[in-house]
Amino acid sequence: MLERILITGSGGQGVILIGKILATLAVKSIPHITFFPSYGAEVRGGTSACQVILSSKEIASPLSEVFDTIVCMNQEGADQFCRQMTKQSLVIVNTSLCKKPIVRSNILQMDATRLADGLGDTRVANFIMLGAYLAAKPVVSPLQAEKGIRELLAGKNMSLIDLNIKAFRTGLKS
Amino acid sequence: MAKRVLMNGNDAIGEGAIRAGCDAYYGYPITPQNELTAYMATHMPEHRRIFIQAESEIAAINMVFGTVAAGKRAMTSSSSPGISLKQEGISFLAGAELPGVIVNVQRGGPGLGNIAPSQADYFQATKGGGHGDYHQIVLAPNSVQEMHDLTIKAFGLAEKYRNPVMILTDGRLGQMMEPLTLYTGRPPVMPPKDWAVNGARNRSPNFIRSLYLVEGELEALNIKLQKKYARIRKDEILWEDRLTRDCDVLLVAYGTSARIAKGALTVAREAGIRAGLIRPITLWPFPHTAIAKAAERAKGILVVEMSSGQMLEDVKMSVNGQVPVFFEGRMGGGVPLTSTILKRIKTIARIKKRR
Repeated sequence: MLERILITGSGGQGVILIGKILATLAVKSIPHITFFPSYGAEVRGGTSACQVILSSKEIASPLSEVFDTIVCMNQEGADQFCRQMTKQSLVIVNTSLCKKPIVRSNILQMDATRLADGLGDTRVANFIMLGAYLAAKPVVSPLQAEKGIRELLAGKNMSLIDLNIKAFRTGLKS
Repeated sequence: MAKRVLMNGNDAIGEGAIRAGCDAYYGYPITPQNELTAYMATHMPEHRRIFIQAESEIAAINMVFGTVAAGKRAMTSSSSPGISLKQEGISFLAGAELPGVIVNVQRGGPGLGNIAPSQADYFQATKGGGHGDYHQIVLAPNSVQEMHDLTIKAFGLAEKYRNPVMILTDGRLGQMMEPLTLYTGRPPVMPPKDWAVNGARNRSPNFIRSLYLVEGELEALNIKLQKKYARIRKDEILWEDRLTRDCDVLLVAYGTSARIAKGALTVAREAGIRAGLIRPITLWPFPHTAIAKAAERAKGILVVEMSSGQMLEDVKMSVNGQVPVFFEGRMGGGVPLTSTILKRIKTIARIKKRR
């Protein structure tokens, strides 16, 4: 298998966090994994992105030129990376913040930020997107993923963990 | 089977140093190696070891000098501009025959440059850097696993030869995360340090210096150093060989460039082009013989680097004009693309065979 994922949004939306979580969840079952953040002068509000590659074969470069899945948390990210895909690529778009229509056959539209607001905190929109991704491409079984997320967030405020899990399930069900 | 964890390259070096029995770490912040300093700040105190954020890079390397002179294990890390500042200290370590591990997570240069990955410090690392006739052992990992494993090796080599060892890597390997199997063995065990300045109770005092003013003394030291370097050249050269037995096109690359070259190599083989790769793991000592041997029946060599062509000179020296050597590289933080390397491989594969 080969799955190349780009997650993009603005700093503070938790783009790097869900990328890292996805890569960590895959460690048990997928032999080759790379996670690469856009590092540098990133600040809250600026563009932020990360790439996760999951593969059964050795991964040459942690940076890909095309992606099998692109997760867009905001408009800037969508504008910047939309060229780097193939006809089959899946695009998951946060329609709360990406207003420009994207014409594609393989598209999943999530009103993530608004849904997150409904759950009580706009900041958990990232977990809604992660849930939506795993529902579409179960590279890790959603049940295992939920268990893993609880482990990874262990030590944080319990109500915060529950809120993130709730967001993850919301994404999963949509 | 040992458990796999996901870690970035900088953290993997830090954890490697801890597992190698590093007693003290001294650092000064600079991107893209900050995760390493942060990791040591968190974890060295947990192991009751020393972490100091020094007032400068120069202070940090001299703290390493003091610690290793006292017979303890020490490491410092930085990125290119900071490593330039450490050169005097490294030359002093070499002159005083002291171990010590230095990590360079390279970024674009010259000057303050940028924070993108680079391999432009090859000359500095392998050809001296500081003043005087000395060498440091230079290890070049190409994965997060190797960042970890080679750090443990570095501490062993440093003490085995009483010589500074540099881990030469770059921002991309420092930042990327990969699954890693942590080292669970014992720290490397090395000969007793009867030379250390750790209190002269019940023995005559030891004296550590790199200043030799008496006529002939310094020459004698240099002869001794050169003999040591000859031993290192004989015993410690490491490289990875991939599909060179029948290769028409020989790729030579290290670190991040080698990862990308491997990608191009796989595609080339699938297209029926006989390509192979030598990946130097020690940059000093350099695998000259392995390259010469792998190039014997090749039509040409392609060196891939994130520089203007520095290792290129060592590769040319290896084949001494017997095989044409080509170069593909990018500078100032640029990283070569698989597709570009592939194009170059195809061109070399079309060269008419030499007699």
